[in-house]
Amino acid sequence: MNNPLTARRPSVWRKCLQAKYLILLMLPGLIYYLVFHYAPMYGVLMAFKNYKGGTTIWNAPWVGLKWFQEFFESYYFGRLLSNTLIISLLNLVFSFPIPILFALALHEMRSRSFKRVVQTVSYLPHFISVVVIVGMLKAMLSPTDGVINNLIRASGGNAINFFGTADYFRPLYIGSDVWQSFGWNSIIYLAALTSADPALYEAARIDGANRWQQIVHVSIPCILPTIIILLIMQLGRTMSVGYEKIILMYEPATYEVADVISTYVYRRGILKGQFSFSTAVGLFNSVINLVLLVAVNALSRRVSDVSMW
Amino acid sequence: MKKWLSMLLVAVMALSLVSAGAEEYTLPFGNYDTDTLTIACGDNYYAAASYAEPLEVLESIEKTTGVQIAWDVTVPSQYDEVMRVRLAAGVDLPDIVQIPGSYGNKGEVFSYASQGILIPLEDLIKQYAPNLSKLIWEEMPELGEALTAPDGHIYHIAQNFDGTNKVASKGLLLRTDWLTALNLEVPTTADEWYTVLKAFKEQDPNGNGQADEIPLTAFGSNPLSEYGYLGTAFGLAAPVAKYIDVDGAAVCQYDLPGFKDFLTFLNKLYTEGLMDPQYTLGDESKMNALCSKDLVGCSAHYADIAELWEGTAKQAGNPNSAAAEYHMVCSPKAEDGTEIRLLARALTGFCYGVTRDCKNPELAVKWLDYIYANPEGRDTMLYGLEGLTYTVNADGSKTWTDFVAKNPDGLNVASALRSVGAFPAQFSNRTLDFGKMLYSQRAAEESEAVVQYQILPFPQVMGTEEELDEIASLSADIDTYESEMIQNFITGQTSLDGFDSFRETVRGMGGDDLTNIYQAQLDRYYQK
Repeated sequence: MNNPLTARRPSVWRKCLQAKYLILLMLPGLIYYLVFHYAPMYGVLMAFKNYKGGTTIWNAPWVGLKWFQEFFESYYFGRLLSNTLIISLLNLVFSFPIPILFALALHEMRSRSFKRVVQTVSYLPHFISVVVIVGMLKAMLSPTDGVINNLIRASGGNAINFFGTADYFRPLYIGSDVWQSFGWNSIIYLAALTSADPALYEAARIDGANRWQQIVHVSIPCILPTIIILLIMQLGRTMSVGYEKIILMYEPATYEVADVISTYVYRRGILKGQFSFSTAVGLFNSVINLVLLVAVNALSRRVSDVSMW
Repeated sequence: MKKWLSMLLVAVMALSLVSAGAEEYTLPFGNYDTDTLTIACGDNYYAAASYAEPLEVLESIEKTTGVQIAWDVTVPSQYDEVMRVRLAAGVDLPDIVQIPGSYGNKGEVFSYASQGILIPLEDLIKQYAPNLSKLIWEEMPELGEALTAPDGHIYHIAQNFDGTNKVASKGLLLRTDWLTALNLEVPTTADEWYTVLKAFKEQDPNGNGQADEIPLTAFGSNPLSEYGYLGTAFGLAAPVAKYIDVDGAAVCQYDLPGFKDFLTFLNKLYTEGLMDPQYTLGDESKMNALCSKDLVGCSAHYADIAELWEGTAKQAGNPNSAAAEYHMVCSPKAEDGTEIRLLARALTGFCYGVTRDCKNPELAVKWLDYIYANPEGRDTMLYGLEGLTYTVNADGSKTWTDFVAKNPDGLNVASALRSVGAFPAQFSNRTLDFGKMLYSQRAAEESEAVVQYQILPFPQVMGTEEELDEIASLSADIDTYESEMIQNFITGQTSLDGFDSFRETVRGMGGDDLTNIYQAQLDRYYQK
C-alpha cells in the first residue's frame, strides 16, 4: 500500500473503476460480440470432426484434416476460388470508388435543397430487401413477359434470357449492387467532407485554386484516411462475397461464373447436411480473410501511416 | 344359422388378431386433457389452412384418439432445410418428425437412425399397433420391406402412394385443341413432336395475333422431370431419371447413347424457340400463371392437373381460349422400336419417425396406427368427415359433398379436402378406393393413355452408413456438374461435341464408384 510505485501507477482494477461509465457504455457491444461472435467459434471444431448431428460436437469422432483435403481435391476448388476473387475484385473496382465520386460531386453542389433531394433518392434503394431487388430484376428481365425483352422484341430483336446466360451474370450482379448501395455508402464520405476545415478551402481559393484543384488538393486529402480504412476493411472481406444475393440470382447455367465459396458452403452444408465439410470450407475462407486483412493493414501502416491498429 | 356363421367369423378374426400379437386398443386411447404429441412436418399443401390452426378433421381425430397434437409446421418448400439444422442440434426434438430430405431418398432415414435420433419401432408396432402390423406384415409385405432398414429395424412409416399410383399417372399434357385448330394429329415420334411444337410457335394457335406461345415448358427444379417425358423417343425411360433398374442392373441413363441424342433434340427445340426461353420456370405457381395466359402448349404433370390448367387457360380471353383443352398423351416411341417405358411413382413418399425424445412412444405408435392403418382413422384422414366432405350411399360407397365436388371457392378436390384438414399430404396412406374418388373419372381415363407403359422406378433402398457417407461426398459435386452441363448442352452454351468429355469428367469425379454403390444396394434389394 505504501509502495510509492503502486501509488503512482493505479492498478488496472482502479483504472476500470474510474472509467466505469465508459465501460458500462461499451458493455452491450462487448456482450454482443462474446455471445454471437466468440462463443459460436466453438463450432469450428466441427471442421476437424465427423459431425452429423444427434450428438454433441465434442463427442463426434476426430477426422483430422480430411475435410480440408476433400475440398482442395474437389473438382470445383479452382473455380470457386477464382469466382470468389473475381466477384470481389469487380466489387472493389466498381462498387468501392463510385460512392467516393458521388460524395465529392454532392459536396460541390450549391443548391442545398437539390442536394438533399438527390441524397435521399440515392439512399432509398438501400432499404429495399435484396429479395425484392432480385425479384424486380427477374420480373423486368424475364424472357417471356419482361419489360426489357418486350422492348427488344418490339424493336425486332430476339429475347435474351438474361438470368440463364453466364455472360450477363456479373454485370447484373455488380450493376444492381452499385445501384442499391452507392447512395448509402457515400454517407460516411460526406460526413468526412463536412468535417474538413473551411479555412483550408478559403486558403486554397486565395492561392488561386479553381474548383477542380480544390477537390484534388483539399477534399480528397481530407477524406483519404477514411477511404483507406474502408479499403482495408473491404479487402478483409474479399473472400466473403454476399451469398444471399447470389443464391437468389444464380441457376445451374450460370454456376460457372456465379458459384462462390459461400454459396457452395450453403449447398453442401444446409441443403445436403454435410456440416463438417462446410465448416471446414468456411474456416478456410475466414483464415484467408484474416491473412488479407492483417497484410493490407501492415502495408498501409508502412506506406501511408493510416491503419486500423 | 347366419348368426352362428358370423359368430364363427368373429372368432376367427379375433384369433388372427391374437396371432398378430398386437392388442387391439380402445378409443380413445389417450386422455385428451393430458396427452399431447408434438409433430414436426411440412405444412398443409393448401397454404391458407395451416395444420396449426383449428381444422375440423384434425380436431375430430384429436377427440377420437384423445391425443392433442401440437403441430410444429414449416412451409413445405423450406421444411428440409429448417428441420435438418434443428435435428443436427439434437435437442428439444418433437415426438414425431417428418424426416427431412426423405422424399425419394431413404438414405436420410437410416442416417438419422444411426445417429440415434429415430428409435426402432418394430417391437412397439408388434405390441401396440394391430392394424399397422397387419398392413405391413400381411396385407402389403412390399410396404413392410420398403420400411425396413438394412439393420432389420423399422425406423419410419411413410406416405403410401399405392392407391393413387394405380389411377393417376404422370405424363405429357398437351393442348389438343391447338392440334385440332392447326389440323395436326397427336404426335408419336420425335419428328412429329418437333413439327407440332413448331406449328404451335409459328401458326398462332391461341389466335391473339402474336407469336407468344411457349410450345413446351418445364417448372421443376430438375426440368428433366418434365422434358424427360420426351426421352422415350431416344430409348430412355421417362422422365429421364439418372438411375434405372434394368433386370437387376443399376443403369445410369446419362451414359446411354440415347441421352446424347435426347440432349441434341432438346437443344434443337431450345435454339428454335420451341422450348421455354428460361429453360425452367423453377416454380409450379409460375406454370399456373403462364397457363392462365393461354400460352403453354405442353408440359408434364399428373393426370388430374389437366383440368386445372385447362380451367385457367379458358379464362385468358384470347379468341381461342374458351376451347382450351389439355389431355394426357403418350410419350413418343423410339425409331429403333425400343418399347416406351415410363417410370411410375415410387411406392412411398414422405417418411416420418418417432424421435428419442418422445416420452410416450407407445402413444405415438398407437396414434400412427390409428391415422395410417386403422380403417376408420385412415378413412377420416383421407376422406374427411361424413356430412362435411362426403356422404355415404346405400351400397356403402362414398360421394363427395358439394363443398368438395363443387367447391364455392373453386378449389379442386384435393385442395377442398385440405382446406378442412383432410388428406394431409405427409400422412396419407392412399387406398385404391380413395384414389378412384380423388381423381375424377376423367383423370383415370386420361391415365389410360400411359398406364400400360409404366415400369417400377429404381427401388428406394436404405444405404448403410459408409454408403451414405460416400454418396454424400461423391454426389455433391457430380450432381452440380451434371445439372449444370445438361442445362448448358440444351441451351447451347456448351456444344454437344463436348458430351463425351462431359461423361469422362464425371467418371474422373468418381461417377463409376457412385454407380457401384447403387448396384450394391440393388443387389441387396433383390437378395431380400
